[in-house]
Amino acid sequence: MPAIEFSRTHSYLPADGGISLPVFLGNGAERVKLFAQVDTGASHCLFERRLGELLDLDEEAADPMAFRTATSRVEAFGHLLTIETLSLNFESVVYFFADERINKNLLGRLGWLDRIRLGLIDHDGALYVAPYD
Amino acid sequence: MVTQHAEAIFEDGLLRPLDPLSLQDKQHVLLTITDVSAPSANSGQMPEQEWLRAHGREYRGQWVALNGEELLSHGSDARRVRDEARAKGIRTPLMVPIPDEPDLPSAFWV
Repeated sequence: MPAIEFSRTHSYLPADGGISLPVFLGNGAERVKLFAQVDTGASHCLFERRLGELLDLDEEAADPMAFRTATSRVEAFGHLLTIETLSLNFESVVYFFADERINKNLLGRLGWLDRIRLGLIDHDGALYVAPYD
Repeated sequence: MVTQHAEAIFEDGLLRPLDPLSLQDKQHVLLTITDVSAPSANSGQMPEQEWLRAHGREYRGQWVALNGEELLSHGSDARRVRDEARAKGIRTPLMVPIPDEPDLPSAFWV
C-alpha cells in the first residue's frame, strides 16, 4: 500500500458551505486574501470578478475563456498571478468571472490541484497538502 | 511607520509567519514577541472562520474585511471595504463576500 506524506494541515467545519481554505492571490505588489473552495469538478481556478479588480489587473492582458456549467456557460478572463495556499506558492493562470453576480471562489485542477498532493478526511474537517514534487 | 500584526511559529531556529508579510526583501523590522497558545488539533479553525460562523449572517449581501476575529470594515463596495481596512493598518485583510442566503446548502459550485 503506498504511503503519502503531507507537510501542511488545515481544519474546516464540514457543516460550512464547502471545503474552504485561505488563499492569497498576488499581482506584483498588490495582494488579496480570500477563502476559496476546493472544487475537483472545476477544470481551472475561478474567482469573483471583484477580487480581480482589487488586484488592479490589466484588462488588456486578459485571456478570455468560456466554461461550461450545469445549465449553460459562463465567461471568464485569465491572468497569470501568484497563488498561495497554506504557504505553498505557485505562479498560475487563474480566471475571474466576467459576471460580477457570481460569488464563487474555486480552487480547481489546472494551476492548483495539479501542483499539490491533497488528502482529505471530510468527516473530521481535515485537509492535508504537500507540494507535488 | 506602518505597524503590522502577524502570527508566527518558531521552529528550527527560524520565525516563520503563518501568513505572508507585506515586506520588501531584506527589509529591517522591529519585533515584539507575544507568547500565544498553539491551537489544538481539534480546534485548528482560523479565527476568521470562527467569526464568520458567529457573525457572517449579520452582514448578508456585503463584503467583510477581517483580521483574525476583528471586523475591520464592511459594505457593498469591495474596494472601499478593502481600503478602509488598509487605513486601519492591515495591508492584506481577508476579504469575504457574505451570500444573500448564507444558510442555504450549495447544490453545485457554478
